[in-house]
Amino acid sequence: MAEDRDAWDELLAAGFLHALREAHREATLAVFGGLSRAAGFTERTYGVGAFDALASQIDRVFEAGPRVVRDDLNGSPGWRYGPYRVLLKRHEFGNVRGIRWDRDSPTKQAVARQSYVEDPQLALPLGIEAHDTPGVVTLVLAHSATEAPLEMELFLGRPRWNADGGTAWHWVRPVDDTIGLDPRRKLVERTMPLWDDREEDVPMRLRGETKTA
Amino acid sequence: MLFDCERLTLARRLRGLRKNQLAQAVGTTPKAIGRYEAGVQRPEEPTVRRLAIALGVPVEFFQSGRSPVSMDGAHFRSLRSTTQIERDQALAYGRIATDVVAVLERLVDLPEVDLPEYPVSPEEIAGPGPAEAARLTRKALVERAGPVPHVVRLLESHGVIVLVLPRAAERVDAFSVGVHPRPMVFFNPAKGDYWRNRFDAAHELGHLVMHADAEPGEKIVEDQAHRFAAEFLMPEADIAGELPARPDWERLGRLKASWGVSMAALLYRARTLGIMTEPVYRDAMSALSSRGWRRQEPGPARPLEQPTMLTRALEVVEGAGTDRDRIAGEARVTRADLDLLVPRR
Repeated sequence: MAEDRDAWDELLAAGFLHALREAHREATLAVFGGLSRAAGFTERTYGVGAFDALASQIDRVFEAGPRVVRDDLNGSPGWRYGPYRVLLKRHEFGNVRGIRWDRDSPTKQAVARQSYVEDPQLALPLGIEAHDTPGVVTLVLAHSATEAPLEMELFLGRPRWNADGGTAWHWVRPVDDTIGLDPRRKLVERTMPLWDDREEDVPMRLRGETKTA
Repeated sequence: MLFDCERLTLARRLRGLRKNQLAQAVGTTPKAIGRYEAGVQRPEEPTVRRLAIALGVPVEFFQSGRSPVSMDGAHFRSLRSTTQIERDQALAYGRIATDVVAVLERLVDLPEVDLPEYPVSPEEIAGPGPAEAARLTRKALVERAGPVPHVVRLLESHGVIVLVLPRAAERVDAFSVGVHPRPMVFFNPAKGDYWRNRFDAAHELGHLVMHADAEPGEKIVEDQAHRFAAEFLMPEADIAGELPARPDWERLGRLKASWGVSMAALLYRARTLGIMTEPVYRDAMSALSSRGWRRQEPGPARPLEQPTMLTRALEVVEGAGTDRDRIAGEARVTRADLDLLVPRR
């Protein structure tokens, strides 16, 4: 099992995973803060909103870094760092391992059918390979969140074609607090603001000073 | 010692902890922490000591005493992107700041609170209220036309307490509280942007002038404060003739330097005043984005406007023989928290 380690280590060292986690957090807060159940929003609205918000947030966190490029697949939003492309998949909270790729969109089906050296499967031609980039491994970022209590789930993994009812992933790992310190911090150390000290202070004196003088 | 349950909540919020985190740190259950905070149960002496250690406050912090100042009316900008924990933490800093101010006010004469009031209905979506409020406020606060030289000092000289949020609360945007007896504005220097902080300060001034009774955080209310800030910093009468109808970057750069507002704010102003058409404005904003200028605009950086009123007040009392430790003690805050809120220069 080399791929999961290689992919994970490379994306971790680049801060790519930290950026995804940050984007997911921002998107979740934005969606739950912005939509109200009282106003008639449902679980489905949250789902769609969370997907769009996450895509925008990911664009935003990668705005500064030229090493991550937007690399959609058949209209499905994707981001690529080196040989790894990441697509999004919202899953039912707590059930990331129960995803059925054979019931998902044709794009996700194709992604699940990518050849995997450590477990070769029968690949069926779906006529979309031409759009894919040779040498690119497409991974899936599975995301979910619940509102009350506020909890988030984020996983990165390599989907496995599971029309056989078997496992949904060749490998999958949580992108959570266990990923450790953000390596990007070293690159963009925040400088403390410079303060201007030339403007005169407001005049002030001890209480009662004039009365006793 | 009389144990004040609200002081425990205050300390926990100050440190940005959830009940379960505090419970873990002192070896008890979140439920027990909840009972202590609700005043249903008084913690035993050893527990009080453990709580104090875990929260980095002296045991005396939990003494009952001063009546709590309500921070319920705080105007937070981005309710959407901050968590309750982060907002509670920022408000907890506000609370201890009021204690420090109360001690200082017994010793020094701070400038009198002198802000106009111009209530604008939180229902008013695109009316003239905010701009009128800004014109009136300028008339009362700024003697001359044109750019406002120093927004922070202007607020301070009219009795407003301006504080800088500690790093811990860096995700929270600027906010203001119209507390009795002094209004407070907290601003966040995390982005280190002179122009942005000035706009934030003017925005918060807008809340203090217009929104004593409005429900904080409403989108309409936030929009009103933005429009107030725009008119306050860039009065239509003074700037309309200078704004370009096309994105003339050189000219915008010059205007930015002289008015102390960002290019983005100038473009926005040009559009709201009808000088720039909607499509031209949209193109200009996307040019701004594609050049990476949304993140950092071109042109030299400028040091931030610094609040100095409380620093000065502490210097005055120190000069009369009352040192910082004593002030911290009387305000019942830790010396470290005092130094964080009111840094020495």
